[in-house]
Parts: sequence; structure tokens; C-alpha cells
Amino acid sequence: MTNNAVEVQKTHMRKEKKKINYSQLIPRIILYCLLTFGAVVVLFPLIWMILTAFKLPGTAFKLSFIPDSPTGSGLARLYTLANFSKVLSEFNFMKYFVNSLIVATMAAVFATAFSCMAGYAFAKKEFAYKEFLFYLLLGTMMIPGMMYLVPQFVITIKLGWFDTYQGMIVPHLANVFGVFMMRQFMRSIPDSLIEAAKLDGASEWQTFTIIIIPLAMPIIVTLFLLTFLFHWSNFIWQLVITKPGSALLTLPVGLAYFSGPHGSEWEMMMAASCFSIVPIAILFLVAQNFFIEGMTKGAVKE
Amino acid sequence: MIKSSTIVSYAIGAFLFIFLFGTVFCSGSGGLGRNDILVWHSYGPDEAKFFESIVDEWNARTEENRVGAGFRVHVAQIPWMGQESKYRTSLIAGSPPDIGRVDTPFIPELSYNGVLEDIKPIMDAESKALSAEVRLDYVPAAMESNVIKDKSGVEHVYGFPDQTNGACLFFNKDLFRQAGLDPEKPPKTWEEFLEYAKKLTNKERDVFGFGMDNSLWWTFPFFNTYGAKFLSDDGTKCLLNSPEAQAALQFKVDLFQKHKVEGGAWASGGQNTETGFMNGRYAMILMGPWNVSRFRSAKINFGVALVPAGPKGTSTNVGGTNMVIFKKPGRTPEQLKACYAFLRYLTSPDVQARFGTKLEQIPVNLKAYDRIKLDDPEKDKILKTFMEQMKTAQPRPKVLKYSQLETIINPEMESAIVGPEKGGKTVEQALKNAMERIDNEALK
Repeated sequence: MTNNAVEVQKTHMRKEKKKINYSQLIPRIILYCLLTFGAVVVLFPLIWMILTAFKLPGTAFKLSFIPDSPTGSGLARLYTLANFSKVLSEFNFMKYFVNSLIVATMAAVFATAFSCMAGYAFAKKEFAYKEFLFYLLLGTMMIPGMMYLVPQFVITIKLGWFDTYQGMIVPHLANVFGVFMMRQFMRSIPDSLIEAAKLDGASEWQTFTIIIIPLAMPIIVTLFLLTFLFHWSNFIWQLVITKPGSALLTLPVGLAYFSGPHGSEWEMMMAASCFSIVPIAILFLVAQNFFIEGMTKGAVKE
Repeated sequence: MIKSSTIVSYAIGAFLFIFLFGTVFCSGSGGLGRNDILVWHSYGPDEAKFFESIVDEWNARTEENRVGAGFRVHVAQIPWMGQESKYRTSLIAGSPPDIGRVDTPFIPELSYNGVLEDIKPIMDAESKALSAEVRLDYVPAAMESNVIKDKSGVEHVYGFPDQTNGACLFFNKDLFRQAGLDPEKPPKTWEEFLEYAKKLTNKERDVFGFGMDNSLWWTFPFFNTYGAKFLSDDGTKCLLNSPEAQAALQFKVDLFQKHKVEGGAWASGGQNTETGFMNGRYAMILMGPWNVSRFRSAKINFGVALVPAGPKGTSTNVGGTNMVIFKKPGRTPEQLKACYAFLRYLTSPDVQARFGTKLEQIPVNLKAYDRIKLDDPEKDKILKTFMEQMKTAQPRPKVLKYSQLETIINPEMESAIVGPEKGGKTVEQALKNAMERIDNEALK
């Protein structure tokens, strides 16, 4: 490389450096500051949960987080692992966890499946009083959920489903919000696709499973996640529909045992919560790819 | 050849059929017979262990001719949170437990709905046999929460207290020393209390003499020590505009507004009393016995004293739980008597003395008071202070929806603490407004 060329390159680099300094750096710093602030706000509850899970019993609200000395004993004056071992040994964590997993998964799978089918019918099929029925269904969304508690409870009892998985899952399978979401999304799928499938000799079921479902996958995943989350954290229904001390108790009900009339065992509750968010976190991580895939699919012509 | 999609469809159909109509998914816990008594409790872990040991003891008793012989007690734990929904739905389903542990303000609603057994006849019979009033065995304010008068003025008793508590004055001994006060001599009257609070307040170090809660329950110690009556005897009228009630609330307001010795624990966003006490911000707070162990494990050097005396001496609020017997179709008189006998056993002086000693809790039976001695003198002193305080505690008003009283009066009291200069109300206005709303909305 000649001297000239080196000189030219150096000047170019200087220019570039200058460019970064003044036109990119400041907005970038502001952007990162804002993002950091946002991240801190969003992560604060999570960090508080994790720190509290390690704190000594009764010190959840003591505003000291940094040990007075960096030694093991300094740490031990503030933090402990005992909450976790206690949650796993004394508290029936695994039983509650498995029950929650069964209830939330089954409810989410069935509710999403039924919502898909109903949404498809409302979006693409013609039948008598279709609009009227749809708005009637939508109208039920205006009624607060707690209003259903007693009638649903009485019906479930009459069906003999008290303290059964059926009782915990079935009453929530008709998800009007899910039907609404599916119908809105499926309306955007062109009719010509369905007609083309019909011309190729596809049956109704095939049209639904081969054409509609893959196209609606992003919204299906979203609905699955929302329903799963709802059932994973549903407390009041799972509390009333099970016997006290039942083998079917779920995590939210189990966690409530840490609360008494005068406050809660926050450290234990947070240790159990640390475990309980794992499936949700995994689910979101896995589903995240579906979201992105769904969003970008068809966006660019190849 | 059968298509794979057909197989999948059949499989899903078969699964749904079994799921909906099969019984394989039920928890399969066995049913209870006529000689069984089911108790629902909502105790914390240590209390639950003790309670279950008492149940085992009762089940193992073999004395002949004892009441309740042949009946076996079974225990199930329900979470404290959501317990009222649990009881309500179990009552709708017609499957309540025989005995349930309920929060004291829930009793009026249960009795109004006629779902509780009136145990007064059995209690009267026992009193006659013992030639002593059974009710007098118990901490008066705690027992009183089980007694409901019907419209014709006839008294009914619906249960026994199983746990009782109330607020006492907690004070930080280190902060007392720093302010030149003797930590072994806590204030005895509200006048002394104010003097102490002024000395303890040090705004430079962000220390306040007092941290106060604003809710009705936490204001009862003030109302009660000033001799303010909340409801008329027949329970149809709120009496909060009395000079006593006004003086009590005025004292609370002055602590914040005039004397500036209160650190704003009552305000939303303020550091609450527990946290502020643990962080050394409030030198004195009113607090119940449930936080003693929490403060101790947080290494706070604190003492507990009686609520400072007002014109009517010392007094406090009362909290806690009762054990009630639910009505059940086809229950035999023997089973009812067995339920009653179990509750008498649970609240007997012997069991209560052990309960108090082991769990450092206030016994509900006054006859157990002399039998409690904790090994640690400091712990013993604190428990004895609470026990002493409970003797003068006043029961809270018995209305159908106690929480409604709180909802009405709390914002009014808060506006009084804020004061008319800052857009709030005077004490007189606030109490008058609260009284009118309570009369019209909660007592109708």
C-alpha cells in the first residue's frame, strides 16, 4: 500500500469517526438511556422477585440489598437458599406445578381449537342469524367474569364435576374473546384461497386444516399463549371448584397458602414464583419465533 | 385402508368422551360418614401443625361417657386468601364443612343467611351444669364477636374464638435511647405519648415519633381509649358525631398536622408502618402480635407496651378468627354436641395454655392466662403485654358488611388528616359525612 493510499484511508477514518461523534453518537446515547430506563422499569418486578426469594424470612421489606461485607458471612446476613429448599421439600410444589401444567395446557389446547373452528365458521361460512349470533356472543364479553362464577359453579356441581379436572377445565373452554380474535383474523384470509382448495377437491376439514390453520398460525399461537397464561394464573375458579387439600390443587391456590390474615410469607412466595414462571418464560421464548415467522410470512415477495 | 386423519378424529373424539364423562380425572378423596366431623382451617404452617396435633389428641381420647365419643375429626386446610368465596360456594353447593374457621367480620353475614348453628342452647345447658357462665371463660371482645342479636333482641351464639389479637404500642428502643428517653418506660397516656413523639422526631435524620395507619380498624384504639361509641345499642344508628369520637380523631389529625410528629405512613405512597418501623423511620407504631417474630428476625431492638390511655383508659381493637358450626341437613343432635365438644376442647385452658406457650400467641381462654410462661423473658414480657391489652379490647361493630364501613369512613378520615387548608375537611365535617353515609348505606 502506498503512502498516499494510507493517508487517504486515515483521512477517511477520521471523517467517519467525526461522523459517528456528532451525528450518531448523541441520538444513540439518548436511545440507549431510554431503552435502559425502559428495561429497568420492566425488569424491576422480576429482579425484586428474585432478590426477595433469596432473602431471610421476614426481611422482604427491609430495604437493604447490598451485603455489608463481600464475604460469605456478609452475604449470609442478608440472603439464604433455604426458601427454595423449603418450597421444594415442605410445600407440595411439584404436585401443584404438574396440576397447573395439565389444567393450563389442556384448557389452552381445547379453547384455542374451539375458537379456531368457531372463528372460521363466523368468518367464512354462511348460516342463518350469523351476525346476530356473533354480536350476541360479543355482548357476553360486556359482563364481568365474576358474574359467571356462581352459575358456572352450580352447573359444574350438577354435572358431578366438583373436584375433577373436567370441572377445572371445561367451564372455560368457550372463549368468546378467542372466537372474536379468530374471526377478525380469518376474515383477512382471501376467499379465493378457499375456492382454489375446493376446486382441487379439498374437503371442508382439509380446507380448514391445510389452508386456514397454517395461515392463522401467528394468531393461534397468540391465543394459545393468552389462554395458557389465564389458566396458569387463574386463582378463584380453581380455589372454589376443588376440595380443600385436594390432590388437584393448582399453583395459584398453593401459593395462596403463604398468605395469612396479617401479610404473607413473601420470601417463600417469591421462591415458589421463581419456579412457577419457568414454563411461561419457556413458552414465550419458543412462541417468539412463531410470532416473528408469522409476522414476516408473505410480507416480502420472493 | 383407514385414513390417518380419520384415526386422529376418532382418537380425539374418544378422548373428549372419556374426559367429559369419565371419572378417572377426579381426585378420588373418600367421602365422610355421619360419625365424622370435617373442619376447615386456614392456619399458617406452624399453627396448622399444632392444630392437627390437637385434633389427633382429640381423636385418640378414650375416656368413657365423654361427649363426642365415637366421632372423628378430619382436617382440611383452605388458603386464607379467598376463604370467603370458598365458604360461599361450598354453601351454595350444599357441602360446607361441619366446622369452619372464619374471620370475625364474616360472622354477621353468615348468621344473616341462617347457615350457622346457634350453640347458645348447648352453651346454656353446659353453663347450668357447671354453675358458671361458659362465655366468661373467654377474652370478652373475642367471644362477643360470636354473639349476634336478632331483630327481636334475642341473643344467638354462633361459635368460639380460636385466635384473637389486637394492637399494642411498639417502640424502637434504640431510637428511644438516641432521643434521651428511657426504653424501659414507654408512654402510658396519650399526653406522654405526644411528649415522647416530639422528642423522638428528628427530621434531619428522617425519624418520626409515630407512624400511623388511617383505616377504621387501626383507628379503633383511638376511638376506644376516648370512649367513643361507634353504633347505637340496637345497631341501627352510627354515633360518630359524638364529642369523644371527634376528640379521638382530632388527636390523630393533630399528630400529623399540628405537632408534625407523624411521618405520613397513612398516605398512599408513604412508607407503611411495618416497613417504616423496620427501617428505623418511625420510632413508635401501633401493631399486632403477628409482626413480633418478623421484627425480631429483622434484628430490630424493640419493646411492646399497652396502647396509651385516653380519658377512658387503655383499650384496643380486636381481630382474629372464630370457629363456627355450619348447619347441615340431617345432622343429629349428637353430632352437633360433638362439634361443640371439640370446640370446647380446642379452646380449653389446657390446650390454650399450650397454644400460647408454643406459638407465642394470645390464648382465647382467660383461664389459660396464668399458665403461660415463655422461657425467654423478653418474649414472655411481650406476650403478657398483649394478653393484658386484650382484656380491655372492644369488639368491632357487628354489621352485615364490615368492609363497607371501612370503605366509607377511611377516605373521610384521610381528608380530615389532610386538613381543610389543603382541600380536605375538618374533623367534624368528615365524621358527619361518614356518619350520614354509614346510616344511609351500611345500616339500612
